[in-house]
Amino acid sequence: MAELNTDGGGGNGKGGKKRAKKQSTKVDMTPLVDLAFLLLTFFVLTSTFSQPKTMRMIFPEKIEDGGPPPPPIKDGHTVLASKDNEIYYYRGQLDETTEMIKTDLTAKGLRKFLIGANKKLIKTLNKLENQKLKVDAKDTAKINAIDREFEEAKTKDKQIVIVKNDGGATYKNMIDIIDELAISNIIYYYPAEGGFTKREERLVNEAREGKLEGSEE
Amino acid sequence: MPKVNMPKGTPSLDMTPLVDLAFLLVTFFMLTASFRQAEPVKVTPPSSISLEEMPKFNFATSIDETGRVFVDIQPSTLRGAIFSAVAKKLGYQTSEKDSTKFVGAGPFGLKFVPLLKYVNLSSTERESVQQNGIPYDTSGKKTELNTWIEQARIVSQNIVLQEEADAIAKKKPYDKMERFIKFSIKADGRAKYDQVKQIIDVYRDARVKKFQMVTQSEEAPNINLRDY
Repeated sequence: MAELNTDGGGGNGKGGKKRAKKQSTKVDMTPLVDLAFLLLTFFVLTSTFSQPKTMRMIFPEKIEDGGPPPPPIKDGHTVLASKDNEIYYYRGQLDETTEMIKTDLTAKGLRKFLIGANKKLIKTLNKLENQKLKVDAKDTAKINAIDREFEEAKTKDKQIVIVKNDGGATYKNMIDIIDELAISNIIYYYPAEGGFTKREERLVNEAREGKLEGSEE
Repeated sequence: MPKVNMPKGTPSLDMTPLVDLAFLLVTFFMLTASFRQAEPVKVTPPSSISLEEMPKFNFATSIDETGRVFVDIQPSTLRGAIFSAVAKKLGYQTSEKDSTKFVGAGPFGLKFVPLLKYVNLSSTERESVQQNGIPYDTSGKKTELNTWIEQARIVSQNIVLQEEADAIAKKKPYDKMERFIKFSIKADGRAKYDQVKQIIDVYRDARVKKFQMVTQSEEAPNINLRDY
């Protein structure tokens, strides 16, 4: 331990042989350790580890007069978001026989429908993914062939989803819906502008009273 | 029985490795830490499974629950250049000092004149300033937010073209796409989507089409097709 030599110098009074006092070279490290750990704690607590992630969204260029009306969709689906986190969807084109279904953003709700609708593509993609894992990484010709098949499958078995909201939905609702689309591997989706149509509004109002799909009895 | 000899004196422990380790960790954290900047507004973005990183050349817009718009620009070289360009476009005289101060001022949500006053305050005085967001207009009229976006695009493009020309002259590779300014939007999950959309429309007026929506990361669920 570090000690101060406190005897006032000038020998030990007895006039004997002067002997150099044995000095300990050890330094007390405890305060140093305290300081180091204090700094360590400070940096651990203040540093931000996880950088936030981002999700890409592309909007078409604005057209002055709103552009032409969207073409009717034969084999797409429409997801509608409304106030109080309410989510609805219907399959295909909107006509007399359209069934508006009330759902929610749990795994049993919208995701179940989307994955069910996109099952064929997901199966193909999983199969190709497995094939790719087995291929030797140096075999570029084979890998390219599989990549081409990926692209083909994506266009051949594509599902189109239109996302609408009536002004009542929050930003979180919309991001959650788009996230569900990403989870279900749906590549073609469009956030529509202009809210619900009259018929959609009527159907949503009817479905609002109904029971939630997939909910327990 | 033989007597056990107990060691005399206080037991001492060699702390050197402990200190070494502690300082190693301190150094590591000091060098890797990126400090959270003081934000004038608290925004809680929704979560998604997306894994894309935040862009390095970033025009970051924060939108709070009430629709106030705050902007932060990174990196600092771009930030200073955009500030000068916006000042020139809006017809204000700014000094070199204003520009330097602005670079260190973090996110802001003020009109240009109060912003000039704001950047010249000390960091503690800045905290007490009430910021109402950068003014924007949803009916398509050009406002200061438009100027910021347009100038950001123009300045970024000029810098990239200059750097690209330099790189070609020196025969060095240059990743142009990575260095163009990107527009990230961090909106509060509780804000109405239409409100966020109106602000996105202001960007679309300034011919920005691609956005990086900032989200908290969330683990992707495992999907077993047999369940569906």
